[in-house]
Amino acid sequence: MDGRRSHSRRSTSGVPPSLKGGEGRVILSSVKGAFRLTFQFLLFFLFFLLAFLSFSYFFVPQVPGILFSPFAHQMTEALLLAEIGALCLVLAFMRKHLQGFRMAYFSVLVTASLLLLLSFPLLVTNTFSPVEQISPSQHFWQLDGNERLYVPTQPREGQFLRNVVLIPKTSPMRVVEQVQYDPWNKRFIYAGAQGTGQWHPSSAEAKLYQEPALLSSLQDDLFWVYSALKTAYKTDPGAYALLSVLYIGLFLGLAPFFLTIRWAFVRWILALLAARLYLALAAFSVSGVPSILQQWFPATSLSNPLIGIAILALAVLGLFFLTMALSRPTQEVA
Amino acid sequence: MTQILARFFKIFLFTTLIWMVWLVGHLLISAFSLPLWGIQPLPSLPEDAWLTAALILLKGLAEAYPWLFLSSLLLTFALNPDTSAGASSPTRILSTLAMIVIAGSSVLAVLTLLVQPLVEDYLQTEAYKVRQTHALERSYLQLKDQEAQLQDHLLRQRNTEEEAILLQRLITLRPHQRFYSAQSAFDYDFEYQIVRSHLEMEKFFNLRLLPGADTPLPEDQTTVTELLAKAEQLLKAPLYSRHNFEINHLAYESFIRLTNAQNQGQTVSSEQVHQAENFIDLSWRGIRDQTLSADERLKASYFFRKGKSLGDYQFQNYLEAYYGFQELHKEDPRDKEVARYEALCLTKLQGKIHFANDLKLLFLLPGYENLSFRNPAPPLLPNEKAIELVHIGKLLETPEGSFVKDFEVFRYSPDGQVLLHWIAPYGEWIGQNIVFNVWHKTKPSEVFPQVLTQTPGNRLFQSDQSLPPYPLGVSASDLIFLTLNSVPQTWKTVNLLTDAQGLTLMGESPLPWQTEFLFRLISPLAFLALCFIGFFFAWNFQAPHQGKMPWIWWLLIVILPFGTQGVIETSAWLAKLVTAKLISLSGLWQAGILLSALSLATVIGMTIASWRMLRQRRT
Repeated sequence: MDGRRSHSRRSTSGVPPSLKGGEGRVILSSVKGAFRLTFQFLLFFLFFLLAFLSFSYFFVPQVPGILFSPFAHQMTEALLLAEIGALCLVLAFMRKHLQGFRMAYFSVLVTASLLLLLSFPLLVTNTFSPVEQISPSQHFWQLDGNERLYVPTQPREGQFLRNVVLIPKTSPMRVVEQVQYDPWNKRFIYAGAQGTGQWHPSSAEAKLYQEPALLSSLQDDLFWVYSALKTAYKTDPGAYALLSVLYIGLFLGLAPFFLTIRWAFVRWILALLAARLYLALAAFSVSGVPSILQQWFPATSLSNPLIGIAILALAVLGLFFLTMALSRPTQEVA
Repeated sequence: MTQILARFFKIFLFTTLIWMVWLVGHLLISAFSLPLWGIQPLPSLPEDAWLTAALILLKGLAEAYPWLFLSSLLLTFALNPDTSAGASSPTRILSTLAMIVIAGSSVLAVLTLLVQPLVEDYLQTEAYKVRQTHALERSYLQLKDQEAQLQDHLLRQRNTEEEAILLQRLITLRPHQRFYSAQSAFDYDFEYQIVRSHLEMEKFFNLRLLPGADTPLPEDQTTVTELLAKAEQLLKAPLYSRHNFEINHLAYESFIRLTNAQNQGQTVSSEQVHQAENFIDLSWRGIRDQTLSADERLKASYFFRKGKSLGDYQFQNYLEAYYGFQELHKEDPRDKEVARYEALCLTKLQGKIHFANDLKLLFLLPGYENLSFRNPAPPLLPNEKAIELVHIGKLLETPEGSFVKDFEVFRYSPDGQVLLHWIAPYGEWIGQNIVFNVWHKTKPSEVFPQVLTQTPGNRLFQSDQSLPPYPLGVSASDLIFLTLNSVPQTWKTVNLLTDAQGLTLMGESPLPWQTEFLFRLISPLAFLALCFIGFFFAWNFQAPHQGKMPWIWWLLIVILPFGTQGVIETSAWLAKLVTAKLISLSGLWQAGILLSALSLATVIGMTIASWRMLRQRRT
């Protein structure tokens, strides 16, 4: 790819802004650009967040069978995903404003990190328990442990399902007068359930609406990042802050793809593939590395997660310096 | 136009070839059961391996077709090959695109509506056969292992009978297994012949073996000559103090050993065989004389009861006659006429009633477990709005019929009051009724269902007579079809449409089946729309390049299908969710019309947008 050449061509072909209106105007223009891009980032973030949340609120309780998210706090998944999406889009815009690239880069880094740092604790501590007035249609529901529930037609929508029949694996059946359905965790809560009542994931509906492998692996990786952030938030605020910044820094590390690849088609394909790989790297660093090290060091050893974070930090630093190096020609000319 | 077409087909063939290599690699790993990357072994029996492998390959290609096609389309239009394509009129480019995309969607329609369901259906059936075969083989080998440890003669005989049933089932499942016995745990036919000969031999000797006689332990090292000598010694005792039971036992054991040795090709003394037979006869006679003289009253009534049973038989009261002859046979096992009539009664009863002991043995076979459904046609009083649920512990389908075990019926009113609740240990499913024609084998009584709850107007037994067939409204084959095809993806498209009503009546939600049906119908149209969107973005992001293809494009030919796979799978998932949501909101056909209109609007919208984009580029 001849991205470097194209940059040099682009930056030296016209008259540099600094030679036209002085250094002050250049800085002002850079600041304005950085503000605009940060604002754009926030808009994209909001868009992705709302899209994800409206999707989950629209489909998850209503379409039976989607075991949509393993997260205890749905909003956190939206937060982590929206950050990645918004960062990718804003990087595509940043490559068009090369004169203020570094300033915009830092501005977005700080904003995105603050967004994650401040909103994650709020989402984790406040439990959102949406009270859905749902009425599952009259049919059998397959539960774990080879049990089934038969839900008859309900006279009216309400928080509870009335006169549901529990069909255990071995006789006899029995009527359960009152059952509560938890659509987010796909489980039924009733007297005598004792931890069961969980929807069986291999029922016909679950198989039909099963997430594709791509999405479920993506969710798995996001879940590891979420778990690491949650644990760090509860045990070590310093590590939590570091992890948040590293998470944002990692995806800002997609910048080299946007800076170097000339063809938009190739650029987007490779950037999206790289984003997926970065997420896998983040998940590996926070979950894979500690579990591998566990074989040699005790499980309670604090060094295990720190080594994972160190690996992630090394990757982020490498990408950061690469980005800085690639955005240098414009700066030098400016 | 021709250049674009040629380039598209070149890329498409190349990517398909790469994908095919990948699939064949997977297949080879599964066929040789290499423990690599968690790839499962080929889900097939050795005799069906080639067909299964071919169908798996076809399934893989059919599944990959949309993303390979989309990837080829993107690559065809994203790279500007030469100036001629850019200079072509927008109408020409769009007509070429339309031609490719319509052909592609038509192929997808054939694959989605016809090929994939058929292949899925075959693979499901094959997987079921594999599961059944393995379960039966495991059970047979377990029984065989147990056999050596069983010391009780009766238990051993029952064990052999169970083995014979399992082998018969295996032979029915795999009639050509003998040609592939090298790839199986054992040769079914060979094993069956051995087990059958054992059973026949056991039957022959059982007629002569006294009930209650102890079978010698396997570790008994006494020789035949010693056994016969001991029996001869005992025979010398006076008639009134002779131990006939022990003589019979010793002679029988000697006879068995001699016959076994003869079967194994060893030379045995015919004199000893004759002597053993003679001792058995003598001991029988002695025991019979002793027993009869001990109970004169029984002897007097014996002939009277025999006459009654013969009368029952003549008047076709076979069940009563059977129990009568059974009793008589116990009293005098030497009465050949009684034994013959007992066997005749059993033949006459075959298929009309079942014995609990036989069914217990039969239910050792693997079947369908833990099934439940709503009875679509319960025998209710008029205007009664009760719901009746049926739970079956195990359902067995055999060539002789369909049988149920632990059959439970639960009828309750919408306000939660239980009206009728009963459990039957066994039953036979005939047509759309359950028939409880199960009797105890050794005592003349019926195996009745156990009533847990019944209320006025909702009683199981209307009189003290035998229980009439219980109506279910569905047949066993319907339920088996539903159990085997619990996933809508494996249903044929026509079944998805026609059987949805039946599913609702049986208490199953029709939504997944309706979603799958509509999804199959709409998916070619949605794919058409997706291709137009893909073209728009590909042309918009087009990289102008002339001459030799850069290396990154060759790399993309390999990488891009994985990306488009994600796009297609995610779109399909979203489409299913949207379809389900729309069906639950507005009904099946309204949702279908809405989705078709949406797809067509997208196609028209993207065509107009593409035409405008192409015109702007040209100017």
